[in-house]
Amino acid sequence: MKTKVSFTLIIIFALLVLTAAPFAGMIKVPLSVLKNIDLATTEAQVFYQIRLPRVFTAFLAGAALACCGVALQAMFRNPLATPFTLGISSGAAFGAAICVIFAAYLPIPYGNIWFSFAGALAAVLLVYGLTKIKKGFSADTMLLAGIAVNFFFSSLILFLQYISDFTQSFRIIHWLMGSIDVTGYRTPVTMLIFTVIGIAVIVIQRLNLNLMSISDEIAIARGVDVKNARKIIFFATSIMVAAVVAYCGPIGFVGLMAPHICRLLVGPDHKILTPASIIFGGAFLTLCDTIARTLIAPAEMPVGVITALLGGPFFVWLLLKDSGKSIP
Amino acid sequence: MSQKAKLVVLVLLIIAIAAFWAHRAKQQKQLDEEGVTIGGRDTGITKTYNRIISLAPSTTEMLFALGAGDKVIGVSEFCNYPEEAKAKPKMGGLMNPNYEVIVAAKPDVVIVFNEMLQPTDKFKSLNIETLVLEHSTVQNIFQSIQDIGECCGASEQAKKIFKELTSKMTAIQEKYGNEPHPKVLVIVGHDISQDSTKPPVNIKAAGDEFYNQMISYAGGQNVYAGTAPFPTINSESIISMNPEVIIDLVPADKNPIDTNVIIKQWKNLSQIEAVKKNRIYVFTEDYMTIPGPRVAMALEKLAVAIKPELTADANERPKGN
Amino acid sequence: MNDQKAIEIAELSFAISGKQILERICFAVFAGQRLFIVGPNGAGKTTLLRCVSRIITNYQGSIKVKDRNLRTYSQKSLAKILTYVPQSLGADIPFTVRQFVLMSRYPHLSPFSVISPEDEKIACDAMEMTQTVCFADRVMATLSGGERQQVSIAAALAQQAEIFLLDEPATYLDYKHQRDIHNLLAKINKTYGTTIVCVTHDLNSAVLSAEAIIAIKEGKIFFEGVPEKIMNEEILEEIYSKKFCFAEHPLTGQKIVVPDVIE
Repeated sequence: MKTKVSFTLIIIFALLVLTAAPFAGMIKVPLSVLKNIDLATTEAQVFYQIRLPRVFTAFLAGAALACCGVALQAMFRNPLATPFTLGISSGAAFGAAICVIFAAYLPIPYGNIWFSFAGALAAVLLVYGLTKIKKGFSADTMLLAGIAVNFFFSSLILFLQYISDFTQSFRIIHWLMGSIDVTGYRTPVTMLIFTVIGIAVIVIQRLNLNLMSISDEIAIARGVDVKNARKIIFFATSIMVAAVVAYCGPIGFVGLMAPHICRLLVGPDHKILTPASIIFGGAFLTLCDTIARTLIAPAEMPVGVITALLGGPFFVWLLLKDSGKSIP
Repeated sequence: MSQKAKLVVLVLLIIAIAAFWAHRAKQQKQLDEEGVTIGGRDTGITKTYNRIISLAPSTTEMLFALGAGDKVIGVSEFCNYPEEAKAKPKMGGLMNPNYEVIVAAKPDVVIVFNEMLQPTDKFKSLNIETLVLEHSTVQNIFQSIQDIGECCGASEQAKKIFKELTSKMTAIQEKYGNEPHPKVLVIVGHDISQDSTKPPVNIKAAGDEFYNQMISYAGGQNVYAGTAPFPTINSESIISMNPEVIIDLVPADKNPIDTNVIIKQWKNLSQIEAVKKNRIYVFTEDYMTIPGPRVAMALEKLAVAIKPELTADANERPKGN
Repeated sequence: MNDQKAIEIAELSFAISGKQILERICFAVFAGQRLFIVGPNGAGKTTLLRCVSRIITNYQGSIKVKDRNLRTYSQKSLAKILTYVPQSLGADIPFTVRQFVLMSRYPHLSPFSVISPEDEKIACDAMEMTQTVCFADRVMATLSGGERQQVSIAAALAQQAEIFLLDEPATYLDYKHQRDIHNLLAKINKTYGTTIVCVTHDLNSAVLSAEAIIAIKEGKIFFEGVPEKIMNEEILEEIYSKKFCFAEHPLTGQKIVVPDVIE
């Protein structure tokens, strides 16, 4: 019962954010733009060409990151497992940075995504390989390996920035900070394709996530091919992180926090937790991005600052509130 | 964490936010000589130095302009002007000097800026004298020329350059600085490698005191009125600020820059005045971003772009796009 | 009991970092049989169960489940036949008992189907049988060790597997819960004809409820036979490297071991 109420509240929150966000900003957009889509007017152009794409992009990025967080936290049975802590984000960012430097020589469509994907997969394989060397699969070893890989790729990005020229260097900083500055629908549509693939794969794995979150033994006993499931989850998270990082840079905290907040709200069952986190993550990042672009307008702030500032205290409040009653 | 500690953190946080929001009083945008002390400022300069290391393009230019190029024994990686500077030994970057090389070069003095706190402290601990300069306003630049002049025994030359610069700039201000003041947006960096079908992204505008002064002397008004020195802005904020002139500073680098692509990016923001009236200017000259002795040239370039109608010779008017 | 073999193990060996854990194990479990595996610590009992339940896959030799090589099963089809009950579930499982038991229906679901009323009923019956209905809506983390073990068996039951592999299901439990678990296993065996393979340290409960007993020492099968035969001074001394005292069970007359006198 509580679960259903909370899930409904999350959906209402998402709908509110999604309807309000495109109307927030420096230029006042009247409700009438919804009726007459006349792109000749500044208001309609701002609404349809600048704000809507940006809201979609933020929602997709948040949803994808939250989805990755849910899957990785269940698979590693570790509340700190996220695309960030496992080095997937920085791998993807490194791939994207490499693409900046060699873009001129490699005219591949969506080159940045493929490079990000290659980077993300390289990071995952490195983490996985490092763990395998130490016989058996230990979640702790894996997290440590992830943190090491994260630092490794972050320093490679800094190195690239150091050796590149001014204009390239300026662009590479983008992959260290993260921001959602898009116009037009090419970015959100591309992201939609990759995100939908990733989310679909994870949603199909939702039952396995439940079992894997208990223990590998139980998962195997209940018929989960754990090794295979791990590979599938790695693939899905890599492709989602690649799409997000290629267009928005590494955005922290959403992947960690959205699943935790949703777990406190709707409980641990991944049948509900997965969709709840995806919706909440998307809405949350949209809200943060709206704040980031309106708070000190006309200037905008890095969205990561807002995710941490807004999410952190809320997260702490939820934790404290819950620790009061449960767990005897 | 105890209750007290939580409270302290909270209070600190509030203070930090308040400080961030505190309105930074705008300085008077009047070009005058009063702000500049000619000689006698307490810079700690007691003697004439003969082995000087300059860690910024602007100060290197000043040294060469003062005829003290032969006293320069080291420059930063970014010092490419004048031509002779390129041949000088490189001493690392502005914010990350190579201390070993600097110590080995045995300088009398290293010229640094006031925001470089860490390097300044390090030089102190290495017993290397420093000349600490400011460069956040046009007056600071004049002062720096005076100070460097004293430092390398070229005070007379410094006075001469100062007189020249101020008279040139005052002339420009008198010619261009009057009403009307068109709204100007100066861009100091963006992701120019994007394709030309989208507006530029990841843009940093100029909002610091130096550019505010420059725009004002050149007769315009900075359309960004906020307090951030180099704010990141997006398409919507540009549309809402609606600049009449956009001046995009893209210093040429190792790779050639295709200004046409940058202009095409801007053209996507079709609803702003600057695009409608073909008032997009892309400047790749390095001196536009170096607050050194070529500041008068930079000011003239800005002024002519902002008010081309005041330039007598039609051929000298920059082509707006 | 029929003659069909539920599990057939031949020449099973397993080594980890050079140490031989299992060495050429051969035995068979008949369908519907209650087989107990005993042996000293580190003999390889748990490893044996983990090989059969496919948690360990890099073993040598062959394991057949229902006359089919274990390696040819998909994990899911294997889970419909065989399930593994670990020594203890983690103490921090955030799910409720009902959620946990329902998860046992996953091998019967496709990735796109949802839990049906029929699945709910099977889970309910399993909880009914294991007397866990009364705390069905409590969170697993709040249960006692004994209650958790009952839930663990309820879950195995809801999985509708024909073969249960249990690793010391009663080791950490008090007398009442020990009795409950062993009675429950016997009841499941009788009601559904489930094959029970149970690793235990408790010789007495093994001889009292097993149909067959296997003793493992240093990775090898040391004894295989009916429970009465293992209650032999020499055999037990060989297995455990200590002397045993025996007594007769006052109700059944079965020979049992008695605890040592503490000096």
